[in-house]
Amino acid sequence: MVKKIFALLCVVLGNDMFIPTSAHAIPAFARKYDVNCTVCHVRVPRLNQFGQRFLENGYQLPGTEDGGIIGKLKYGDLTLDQVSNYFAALFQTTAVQHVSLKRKVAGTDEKTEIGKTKVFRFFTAGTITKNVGFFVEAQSTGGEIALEHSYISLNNLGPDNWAHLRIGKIDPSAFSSYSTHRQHFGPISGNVVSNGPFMAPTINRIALTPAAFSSKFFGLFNRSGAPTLPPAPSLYNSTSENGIDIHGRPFGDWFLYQVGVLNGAGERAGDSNNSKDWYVMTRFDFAKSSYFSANLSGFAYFGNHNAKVATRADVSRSRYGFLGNFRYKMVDLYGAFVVDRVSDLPDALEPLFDATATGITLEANVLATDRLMLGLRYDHMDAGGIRTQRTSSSTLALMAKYYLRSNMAIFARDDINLRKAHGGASPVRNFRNGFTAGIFMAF
Amino acid sequence: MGLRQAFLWRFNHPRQAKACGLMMSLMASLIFSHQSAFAVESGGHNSSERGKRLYEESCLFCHGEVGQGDGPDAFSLGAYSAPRPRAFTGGEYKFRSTPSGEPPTDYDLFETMTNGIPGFMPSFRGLPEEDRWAIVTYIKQFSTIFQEIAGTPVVLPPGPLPATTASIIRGHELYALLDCAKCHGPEAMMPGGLYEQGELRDRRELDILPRDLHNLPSFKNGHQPRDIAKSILTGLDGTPMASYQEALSPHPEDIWHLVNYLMSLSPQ
Amino acid sequence: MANNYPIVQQTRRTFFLRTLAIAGILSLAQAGNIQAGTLQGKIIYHGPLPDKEEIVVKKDSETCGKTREVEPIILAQNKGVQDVIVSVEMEGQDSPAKDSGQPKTIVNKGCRFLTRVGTATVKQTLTIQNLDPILHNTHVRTSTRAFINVVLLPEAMGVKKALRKPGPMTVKCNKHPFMKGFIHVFSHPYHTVTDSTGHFMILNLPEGTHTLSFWHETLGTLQQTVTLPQKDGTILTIEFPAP
Repeated sequence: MVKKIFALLCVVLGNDMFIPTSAHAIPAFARKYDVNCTVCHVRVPRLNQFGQRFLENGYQLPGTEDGGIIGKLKYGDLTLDQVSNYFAALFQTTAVQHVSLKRKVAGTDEKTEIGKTKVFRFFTAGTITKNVGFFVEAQSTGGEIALEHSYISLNNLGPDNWAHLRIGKIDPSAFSSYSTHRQHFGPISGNVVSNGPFMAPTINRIALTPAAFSSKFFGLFNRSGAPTLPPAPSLYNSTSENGIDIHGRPFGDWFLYQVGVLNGAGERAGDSNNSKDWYVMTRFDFAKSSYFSANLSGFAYFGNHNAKVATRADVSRSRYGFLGNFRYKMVDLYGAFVVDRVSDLPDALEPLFDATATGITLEANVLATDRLMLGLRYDHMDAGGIRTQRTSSSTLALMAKYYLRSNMAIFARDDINLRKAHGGASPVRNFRNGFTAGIFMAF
Repeated sequence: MGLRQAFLWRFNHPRQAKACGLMMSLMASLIFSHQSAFAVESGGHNSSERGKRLYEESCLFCHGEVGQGDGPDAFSLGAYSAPRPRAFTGGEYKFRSTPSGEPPTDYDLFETMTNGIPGFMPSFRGLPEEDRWAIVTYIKQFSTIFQEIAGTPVVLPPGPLPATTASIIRGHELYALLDCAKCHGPEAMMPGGLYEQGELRDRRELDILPRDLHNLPSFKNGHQPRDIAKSILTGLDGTPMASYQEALSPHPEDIWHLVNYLMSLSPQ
Repeated sequence: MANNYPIVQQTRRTFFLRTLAIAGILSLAQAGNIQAGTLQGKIIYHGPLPDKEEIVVKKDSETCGKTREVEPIILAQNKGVQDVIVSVEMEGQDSPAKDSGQPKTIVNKGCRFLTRVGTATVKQTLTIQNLDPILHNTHVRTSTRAFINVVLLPEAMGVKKALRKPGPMTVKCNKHPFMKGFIHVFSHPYHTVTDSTGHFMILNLPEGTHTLSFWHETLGTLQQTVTLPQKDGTILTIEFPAP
């Protein structure tokens, strides 16, 4: 049995470490409201202010409760057009990828790979009736199909934007200044070989994800013993966790609050740790004219026995973060500074384990023309965890993304390791440089 | 005051009722029939506080805090080409039933908000009618033009006329005679020459693409025969699209032939 | 300056007599005898001349010509600058002139606006005509919005619209982008445009000190104060510096 699980893990981890991709865009809404993607997105997948308010309002236009008017399905005369107002699909593939490494590893030769990562997502979203929204998403990555986040939202509870509720598999960071899921730079998968439950995996090449939102710790495992890899988005920045979440802007548009409770163990189903994680986020919006907008958010996420260490003891991971976004005309700047803490460590492990890790992610997007977007992202991870394994990293990514249409883009990016690549026993920084080109479509 | 109430209000004043009825039936035959009931009802919606709150919740992100069309999302909507959101402060509106240079009627504003603009502005039908009227009142105060001139709807000739072959052929002739091809291209295969030469600019000096006349649902000012007639006769202020009212004045009914031709271009 | 109005009126009442007087003096004596209340001047420019721009006309070249030469500054032999708008600064003039005289006309002829640079008084009627055998559209804009954008059939007798507000306006034809013109509207009648020799004359100006504004499409704006009456035989000479 254990062998079987191990074999399965090898397939999953060894091939393409599973990291849910980033791009969320719902062309169904563009169809429903008969508008271009750019009404809600700066450029897909990143939301603009209007799109953020649309999301907060449970897929209803800001200030309205239009779910009952525009959103209601009429069963009598259901046409294909109306169905397409509720369903959408998203396809992303890397056409070409070339990664250069310091140390040659079997299976990760420096070869150019064609069509390596394909992500296909299918989702249905919208409003069932006034103030009741839903989102259901299925994702297929490299043959694996999974139900990603899916929830029901109850909106405009109480007067004046007081509270909106989401129940289901949710993505907590959706309302903050820097949503984890809306990345122009999709994740670049790593190369990891599992060595069995509660055994440190062999990381031949680290995956590239926003450092601030990633797990950052070496030597942590989920409750079934699979390693929680440092680049995996987690906690507040998890892509989907069972939970309940309330947000609102009760004092006007300048202030948003969010509180939520999650299972928190990083499990797709069930809650084996029988304890909950909870979080709180506040966001301040200011400057809303002269093509300028700015917002700052802060959050605190309190974990409760949501991870394990190699000794199989439960530990608690918590996270505190500060996020910001400034946008002026063609320039969009955003970033996050996040501190992670591991507490409840077994006494024996404490001297061997660095219980604090930090991550910084800074990104700049510039619209050079209507269709061409240039991007730059800097990531710095000051890793934590088992001191002999932990390795910090700093990377820089550059990208040019050309939008053939507002829902379709081709991109080319280059990721550079800013530190000296080295081999060694823990070759987490084997990575030197990676070039990726691909296509993104939403329809 | 909602639409229905506005309508009733008129008849709550017995002395006016008769005259109103007469005037209305007269106007209905002359100007847009749906417009006559409301065009007169301007300024009656006294809910400025409410309008401000609604505007800030729903409109500000594109149209800006003081209505300059410079909201935080305005730039990325039309980064380097038109359209960008309307600047209410300029008092210049594309979608009107009134002659070139005049401000729109309240009902024009209400209609744009209700129907949205294909591609660029969602319909705000989800807001209750009285809320939409409150926003109309609020956006009007951004420009003094509404105090200076009261926009009077252009008179449409009786129609629309049936889209017979003869009518469509006449419309095709008019398309050539009226030089529509200069922007919309020969046989309406856009873009025409002027766009390619970079000569078509909007009020912000941004490149503006002439409407693809083969895509009826994308017509921003509506795609019913009356909407198309309205766009041609009044022009789209702030764009190179001029008013053809004078040019069509020798044979006013020609507008319907032109409309029939334009409508025949799109697949049914 | 709120009480300017009666003065203007008075001046106007005596206008007829004064005109007679001018005519008499001019016919009898030399041109040097200038009636008080009339401002005469000349605008010159000695700086470098920008290159003439030659635009290839791609459409309607039978009417518009194959090419169109655009001169950023039209200069006479004597260095006089043509098409400078000259006006008296009268802020807070709350009672605009009523007579306004003739309607102001913009004629499309040979794919040119006649007059290309002009001035008008509030409440005057702007008439737009087309004498060409082709379609034109005349797009008149204030600094913020369209005043009118109208298509004119060949040989159209025209569209009329009252000028409501003072301020500069541009005139364009979107069908023929090389056609450009300017109209400045004033709330008082003291404005004019220099002729081909750079000369201008403003009649019936109340005596006293005035600030004059000069505007040229390429050279920009200048201001100068002047005291009326001018000394006999003097002509106010204004020189535009190089831009």
